[in-house]
Amino acid sequence: MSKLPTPTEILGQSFQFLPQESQLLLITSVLGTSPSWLTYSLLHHSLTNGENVVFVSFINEFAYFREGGKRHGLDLPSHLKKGTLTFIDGFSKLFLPSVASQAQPITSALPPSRVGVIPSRGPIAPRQIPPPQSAATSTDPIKYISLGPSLSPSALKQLDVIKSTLQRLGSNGVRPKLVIEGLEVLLAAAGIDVRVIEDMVYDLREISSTTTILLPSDSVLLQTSPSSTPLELSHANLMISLGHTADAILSLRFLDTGVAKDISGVLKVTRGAGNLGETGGVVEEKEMLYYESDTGVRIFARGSGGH
Amino acid sequence: MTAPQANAKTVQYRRTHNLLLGTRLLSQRGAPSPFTLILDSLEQSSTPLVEEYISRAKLLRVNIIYLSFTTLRPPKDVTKIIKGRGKSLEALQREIAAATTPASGGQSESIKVQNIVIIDSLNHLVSISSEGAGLKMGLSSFLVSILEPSVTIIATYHTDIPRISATTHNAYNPDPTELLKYLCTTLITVYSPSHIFAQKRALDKSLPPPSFGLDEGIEGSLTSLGSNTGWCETCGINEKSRGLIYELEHRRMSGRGVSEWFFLLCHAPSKKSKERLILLEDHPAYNPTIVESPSGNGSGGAVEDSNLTFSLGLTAKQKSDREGVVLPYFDAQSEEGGTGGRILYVPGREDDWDDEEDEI
Repeated sequence: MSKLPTPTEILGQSFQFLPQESQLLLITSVLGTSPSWLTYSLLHHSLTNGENVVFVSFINEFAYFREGGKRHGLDLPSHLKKGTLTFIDGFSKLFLPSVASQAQPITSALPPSRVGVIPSRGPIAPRQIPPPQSAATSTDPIKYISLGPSLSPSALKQLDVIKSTLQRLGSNGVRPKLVIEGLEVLLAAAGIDVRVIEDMVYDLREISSTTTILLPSDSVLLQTSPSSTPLELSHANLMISLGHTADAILSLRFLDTGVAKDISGVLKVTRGAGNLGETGGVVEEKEMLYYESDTGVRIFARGSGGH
Repeated sequence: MTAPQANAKTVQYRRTHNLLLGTRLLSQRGAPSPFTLILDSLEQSSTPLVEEYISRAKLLRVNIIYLSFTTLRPPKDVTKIIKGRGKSLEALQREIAAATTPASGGQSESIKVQNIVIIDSLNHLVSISSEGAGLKMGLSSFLVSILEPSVTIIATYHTDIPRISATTHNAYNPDPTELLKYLCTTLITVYSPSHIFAQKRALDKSLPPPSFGLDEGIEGSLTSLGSNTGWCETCGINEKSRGLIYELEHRRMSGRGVSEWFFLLCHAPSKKSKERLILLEDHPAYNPTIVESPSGNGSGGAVEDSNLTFSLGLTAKQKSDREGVVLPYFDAQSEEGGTGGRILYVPGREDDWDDEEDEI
């Protein structure tokens, strides 16, 4: 089992998670600095404290996190079984016809105009469908989001599964925590308007305690000009809008001076506007180096060495 | 956006006139500015300034209406919170009008009630108003419809969020940001104190000023250190983040404009006054030349204020003792020593005196 820095080490001694406040942590990363260890650190903290966590991912399936969690001593399947962790998979079946529409006759589920496209998906669908149906009967704890092959207004209703899960978990008065990874997929691949996504995030934040959102922050996605493409503008819009309401922005990037053998990258924690209110612990801004190895992840100050 | 150089000639005039205007605008006494537009960014949020507006309005018993698009935890002293998400401009206008017009009871007293409408993100209003050309109401007519004589608007616009122009955009319409800047009577741009001071220090040494945030150009970096942190040597992290620097442009009824840089401190600078607002030039971190005058004793003051772990100054007794010291060979300069440059030496008992070798 390897060691991970605790959220206290990352966000500062005086920061505390407030169960009744809608806090927001924005984790940004570039290609090559995977933010997974930050996710595991937060999950570890929440799950060992017995809090309910809803984990939504649009870019990874559960097996990825199961393996990654195991390396860091985090037994996600057992938490899934216990019900403290709810995993919503928006990756495996995002563009497959939803389970509900499969129950209906195929002719109504597939619009005739799409016939040319569907056959290519044909071979995949039968292979993938059996597990969920058998799993659904054995109360599969993993929920799936499928928007269907073509985006229709009704398909957005599929995203409500996140909301209903949060509501069900929060019905006893204790708000669950929420982690969302890969919102950019909805923006880029599913073609959902950025305002719809933003509104969804605010709706979800209202009924959860601490929301953690992971987004890529590579320059091409952030440095926009008026001539940028709508996708670039949408991504930057989503990212900066969320940054304006966040309590803390945790950004991972490469070392500015090049590659080093014993440094994986730089972790920068800055205070967001959401943390300026009267309530809540204070996020301490800092810039640390981190090193990810088989023995875990270590964060250390610049110049204090890797040992 | 570059902050001004300290100007000793005009500072006295501005200290009296502009500071007064600044505090009057901040407390909104007598509604000097119907529409205040605050431009902020990820580096410095407008939240501390808005909270200052709210706390001062609270003292004047003003009705505070908070129109929230993105804020899930609004400030606590707010009279009424209106959620703006997912509503049309018409619906919002009706709600605000209902909140600002006096309730049915007690007409005589409620007529005088002042209202402040705080909008936490104009970006959302802009995107709602630009969504479809078929809308009856535009952004400007919405704002004008809220603005009654008893209402002042304080609205924040996040300048760094890129706007996605609608497909039905009319090329001859002005940009909404420009329109807002034109409509407002007071335009405030907020900055992070540590960033402004870093830029000032660089400019003082004729170096190019550093950039921050998205302009910094570091791959993967969204904000810079020093964002939303305020500036104070004595306060804790939470208290000091109440401080910020802002540039204010106020358009008077006469058409004359006043522009000034202010520093909203996290606590009152002295025990005498409770006013937290000062001119930026009156802050020692921005204008190092003013350190000397308040401390009084010339260069000694600057030395005392520097960050040393020991004292470089002298007490009165040390000074008088130093003046009383008679330096060795002092007599050589006045008496016979002045003639030949001889060394005056009186041999002591421990000296091994040799008459042949040693001579005086």
